[in-house]
Amino acid sequence: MEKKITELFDSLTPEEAALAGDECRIERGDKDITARILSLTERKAGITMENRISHTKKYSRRFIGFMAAAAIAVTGIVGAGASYVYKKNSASERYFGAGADEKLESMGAKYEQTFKGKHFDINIETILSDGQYITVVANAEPNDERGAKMLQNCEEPWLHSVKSEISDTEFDEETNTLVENGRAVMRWSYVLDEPQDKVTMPMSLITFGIEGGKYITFAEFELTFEKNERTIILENAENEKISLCENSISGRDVTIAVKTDPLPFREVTVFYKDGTSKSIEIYGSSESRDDGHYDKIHISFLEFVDIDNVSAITIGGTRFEVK
Amino acid sequence: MNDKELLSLLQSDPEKGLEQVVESYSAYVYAVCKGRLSAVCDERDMEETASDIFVRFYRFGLKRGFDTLTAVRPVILVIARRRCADVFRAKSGDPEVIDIDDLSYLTDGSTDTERAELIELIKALGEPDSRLIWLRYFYGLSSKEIGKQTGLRPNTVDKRIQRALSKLRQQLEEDM
Repeated sequence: MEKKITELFDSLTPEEAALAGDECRIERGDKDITARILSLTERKAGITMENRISHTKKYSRRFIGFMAAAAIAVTGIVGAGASYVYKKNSASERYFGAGADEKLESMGAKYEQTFKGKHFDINIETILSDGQYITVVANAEPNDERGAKMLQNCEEPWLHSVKSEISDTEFDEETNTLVENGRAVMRWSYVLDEPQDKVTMPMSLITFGIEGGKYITFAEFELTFEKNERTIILENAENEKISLCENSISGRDVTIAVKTDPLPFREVTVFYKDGTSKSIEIYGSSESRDDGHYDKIHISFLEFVDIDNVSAITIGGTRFEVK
Repeated sequence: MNDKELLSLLQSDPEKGLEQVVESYSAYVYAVCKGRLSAVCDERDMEETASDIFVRFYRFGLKRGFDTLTAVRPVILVIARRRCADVFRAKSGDPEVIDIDDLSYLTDGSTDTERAELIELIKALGEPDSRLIWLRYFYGLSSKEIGKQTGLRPNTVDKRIQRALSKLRQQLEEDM
């Protein structure tokens, strides 16, 4: 009988499953597990950006944990020597808004470099750094049938730096990958523990191999980040300071009044000297303690801010002025 | 949100719809992953598998149209069960070649008479027995896990399942 029932469930169709009533219900789920599954699902489905506020930190911490397994599962590594110039494209506009390419060009942030890897070539498109918050926009193009198949099979690759494994920062990596036009477009960002005008990071292009159930490294290479973004300092009524660059906010020991629980950073507004203001689209942020205090705060944007004309910025219910 | 509301949201705003589907059914999907894969996967792998299941549902819906679905739960459950079977085989080193992109079972549309009858017989057991059968044989949960779901003691779970199986066997024999 048990065999018969198992066979039934093994070959069940949706129509047959629909015949079951509420007896197939599951009542008790774990909220943390749901949050992690949601984060993974959104990333794989390419829709993480709006929801990164509540998930980025969890993902980062988790990511650090499982990379040890990834190191064991390396199946093919191609060194940085195998690089060449590749064709121009515009993936950066997805992460920084329309017209981003021109802005990035003026900042000297545009790159055209390719690293050949196993199954995928990784094309570096943009490298940004304000000295502490570093960002790469890239795309991975399949270079064989297996790579193309992996994209179809939700095994799209993403960027990772092994350096984050040894970091003690509370806010490590932000990664986002989405598949479009037969390639994986990705943004990777990282907050350095201490500001550095120039830093070289060891990078990997990896994925989770569904069939093998292990992390797979397609390519390993190094990227050098030189400061190419300017910053301005803003201050709140408590004299706490934040640093604003074109695409992110950073600071230490800052308390933010929560305005919209549970996602206070959905509301970041920039006020300009000409009296106009703009609500900023958020890419990711660190999380506060329950009292709204941040030992280290970081909020990244999906657009550029004209920092030369900023007069103030509000984060949640706290206003920071340019002094 | 019920399935009708989920399908409506998936049609009007697929991304928000997916988020709600995960919120509504992650416990279901994770239960399948835990029940079917805990012997070969750690928690992180099970979460990865669960997310793959939702992504498959989402991409299937985008491709076929969410308006072609009449419910969410049955589709999610079927994808979950099949996906976990694939992952289990892969983790167990089974050399069987699986077409990982084959979701044709979702559009089969057929209902096998014998299987439908068995489902109805399980349903006719009434709760909690019918539910115990689903939790044990669909989700693959242990008696302890089923106890957490139902509030029954593990040995009570075992006894009731044995009695339910006997009853099902008897009814099937009578029908033949």
